[in-house]
Amino acid sequence: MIDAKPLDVADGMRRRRMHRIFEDRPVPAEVLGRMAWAAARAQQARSGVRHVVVVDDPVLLATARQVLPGFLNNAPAMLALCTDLDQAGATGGPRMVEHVSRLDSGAACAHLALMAQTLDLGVCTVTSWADEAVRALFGLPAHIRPDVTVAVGYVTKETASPAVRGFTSGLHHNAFGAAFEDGAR
Amino acid sequence: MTAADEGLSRALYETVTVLVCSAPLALDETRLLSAFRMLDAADRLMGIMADHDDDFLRRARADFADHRMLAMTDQAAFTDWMSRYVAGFAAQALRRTRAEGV
Ligand SMILES: Cc1cc2nc3c(=O)[nH]c(=O)nc-3n(C[C@H](O)[C@H](O)[C@H](O)COP(=O)(O)O)c2cc1C
Repeated sequence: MIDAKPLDVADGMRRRRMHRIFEDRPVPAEVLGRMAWAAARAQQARSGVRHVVVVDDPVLLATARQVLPGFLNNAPAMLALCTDLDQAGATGGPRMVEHVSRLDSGAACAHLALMAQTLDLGVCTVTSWADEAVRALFGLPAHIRPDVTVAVGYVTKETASPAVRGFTSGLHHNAFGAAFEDGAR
Repeated sequence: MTAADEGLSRALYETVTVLVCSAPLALDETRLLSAFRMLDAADRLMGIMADHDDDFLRRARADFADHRMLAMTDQAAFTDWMSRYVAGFAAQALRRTRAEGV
């Protein structure tokens, strides 16, 4: 049985942050399975396009810290979210390959950041690497494109870094440049 | 080869890998991130040298740890900090060269 905490969705969005320091203890396979399920449940424009590689082999993680320059954390596990380019092309054409499938990987990252909080886990989205390095690490065939690697591990209040401040998004009303005044932040 | 030599060689090999795998990112990311990757590799090398008690390197590593996130959150502040970091290393290099002679 997995010990999962209920989470208010808005609360989870507010608390969401990237973690780069994790506890040493491994994440059990069933907990990683729950995370993989969360990634798989995220929006996907066509069936069979998304592939998730669940990684908990310490050798692979130690190597990832060398060959993925953006993997600047001590996570004991990660999920690699990938796109089947053949399937994407066959079911949705070039736009599915270059645009839509990446949106779907981003949506999976958002699910992971929320699901993690119900399991006392933290995540860090990592994309600073060369595709070839991820391919070599996980034996991805040529038609499988790595989109994002997500570090996963247990976190506590002590391991969490302070929330990053000052990241903004533009908000517009009906036309670009017209402010949207909703008052509810 | 002693066990210590093997450990050193292994740690250096890992850092060589970090540098090689960082190289292609220079073509796809900002120049500031390339600078960050070089400092990250330098930090790893300093970590390898940490066994040899060196106060300057210990402080340099702490300084990098305190400021590395600025590369993601405040690029102007990161650039300012990096200038000071480099000035510190240049002054230290001069002190060392003077002390050790050419
Ligand atoms: C698509 C994406 C890619 C990212 N790539 C990396 C990465 O390669 N390495 C890393 O340490 N952080 C990475 N981050 C984390 C960002 O630096 C982080 O989201 C940002 O500092 C804001 O912090 P917050 O998400 O905790 O609010 C990435 C984030 C996103 C959304």
